[in-house]
Amino acid sequence: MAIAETTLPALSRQQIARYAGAVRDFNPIHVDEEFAKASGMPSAIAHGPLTLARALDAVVAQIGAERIRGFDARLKAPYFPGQTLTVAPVEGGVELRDGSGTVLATVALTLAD
Amino acid sequence: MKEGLKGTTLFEVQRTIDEQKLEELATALDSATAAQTATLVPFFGPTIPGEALFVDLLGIDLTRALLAGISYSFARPFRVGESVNVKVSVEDFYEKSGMQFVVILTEATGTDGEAIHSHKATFIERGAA
Repeated sequence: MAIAETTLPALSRQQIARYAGAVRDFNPIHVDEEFAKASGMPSAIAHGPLTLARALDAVVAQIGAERIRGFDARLKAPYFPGQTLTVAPVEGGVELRDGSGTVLATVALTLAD
Repeated sequence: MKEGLKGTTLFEVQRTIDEQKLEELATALDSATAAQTATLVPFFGPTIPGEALFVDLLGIDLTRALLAGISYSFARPFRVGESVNVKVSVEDFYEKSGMQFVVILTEATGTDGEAIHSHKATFIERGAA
């Protein structure tokens, strides 16, 4: 698998808000700072599917959308606005890390031949 | 979280893959390939028609819930203008280490029954403090 390591720009709060509107997911932990803090988070967090969509986008940029058959992700840590996203190749897929090096998710990729 | 929902269909809806929705997703992704990626990213699933319904159906306490993983399967990207049937069901429900896990299966098929996309989302509800 020839996925090269890529680092995406920092995630903005506007991106989180736009994604919330697009998928109609207004879970307050993504859009309400006080609710997020009451839930034990230091700030609002990105939607898990948004984090994964950014990683998917990094893969699409390299091999196109048509070849991707499976994208099986385990989320390990929350992704906060202001953090970059590094998509790095690992055995069988990719690993997602934020700007501090925290592993956010591991993804098993299945590609068409 | 409500128990005893394993195997049940939570809801089934028809959605059109319209250009505006794909643009909304692409804008959120904000990249050179976002328009292409938007044809893979589902805008439906456990959040349709709004996460409140999904939360109510499952009885999820948002202050104790988190998404543990998602597994996407793509037969092909979505096509602008096509209609898809979206079925959301509870594939599994179990308890482990004092936490409840629910696996929600979302299947998108064409009007002719063609499988286009599916994804499984695993949600965890932590035990009350």
